[in-house]
Amino acid sequence: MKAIMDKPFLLSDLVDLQEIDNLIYSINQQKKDSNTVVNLKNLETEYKSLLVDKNLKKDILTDFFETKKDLNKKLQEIEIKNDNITSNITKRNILPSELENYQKQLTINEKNYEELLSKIDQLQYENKEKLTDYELVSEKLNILKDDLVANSKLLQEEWNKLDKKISDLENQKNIFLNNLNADLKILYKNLKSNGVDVVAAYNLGDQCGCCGVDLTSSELEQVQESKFKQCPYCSGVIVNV
Amino acid sequence: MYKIYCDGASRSNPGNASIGISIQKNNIEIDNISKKIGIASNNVAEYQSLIEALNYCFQNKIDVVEIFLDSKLVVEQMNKNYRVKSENLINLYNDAQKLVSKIPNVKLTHIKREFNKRADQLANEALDKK
Repeated sequence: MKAIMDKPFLLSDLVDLQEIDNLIYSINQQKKDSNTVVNLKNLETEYKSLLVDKNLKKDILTDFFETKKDLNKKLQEIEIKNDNITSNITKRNILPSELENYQKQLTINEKNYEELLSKIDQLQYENKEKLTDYELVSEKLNILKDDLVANSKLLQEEWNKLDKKISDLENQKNIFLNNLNADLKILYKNLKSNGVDVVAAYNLGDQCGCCGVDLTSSELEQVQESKFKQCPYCSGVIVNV
Repeated sequence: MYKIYCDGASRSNPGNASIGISIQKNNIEIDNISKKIGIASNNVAEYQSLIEALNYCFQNKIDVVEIFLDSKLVVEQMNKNYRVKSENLINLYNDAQKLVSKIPNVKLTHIKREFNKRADQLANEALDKK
């Protein structure tokens, strides 16, 4: 009963099955090695290197940034003070002496404000080259970031297409396996897990199609007499053309 | 245009093995290699012949080359269409890929044995030498 239900024993099915596996493997290789992958890897390397460079340049400017931050804080404090003074001056019931006092404070504040602005200018001037370097690297990083995003998107699109192909081939393989003779299924699985490079191939005259070895007439006879027609050298299945 | 024909031969598998390489420029042989490589399998000999050919290109600064082999296994593995499973081939495969990456334009093509007679002849000459 089992023999009747079993699928036909066609060694050429192994060649076809292997062809599907080879295609799946080849597409997976494309996923790893495509130009977009190489580009993306190069961009990532460049991005990381630039990021290190940017941080180094930022470290060099630590004092500059801290001093500038401090000066800006002081500027803001003066602005707040001046806003309060202006608000008080506009009050109706203000005394002339108070007004005079507020105006003096305003004058002092304005002078301090100007001094702070010139300190900031001086600071910028002294660090001009370092700042230019830092800004240049930052700008490059921004451009690279855009390239990275664009390339990642491109790669994702490429991979989606390839994944679809793999999925179609996997389905094809499953249908194939469901219709494959049980003994051949086991043989294929065993040969693959034993590291046989080419599981099955058509013969090339007296040559094994799997490993290319010339077989003697007695070896060929042995192969023909065996159930699975395996090459004595590579164990691959030799399918007659 | 450079064309290189490679072949590896092994008498019994593994057994005494050799390689034969014909280097041609504009279809005229300008150099050849014919040597024994000791005891090796057929596929190892084929890989060795490819590596020798690639080394030749690298050393002689040949930037554009088409290399022909009659081993479908080696060509398909190198073109990343077949997986490399044999442990004795993985190192050879990696060596060959490293060399390929050093040469700007290499194309590997599979040909039938009848079109690779010169390389086959060179490999067999090496095996026949005492």
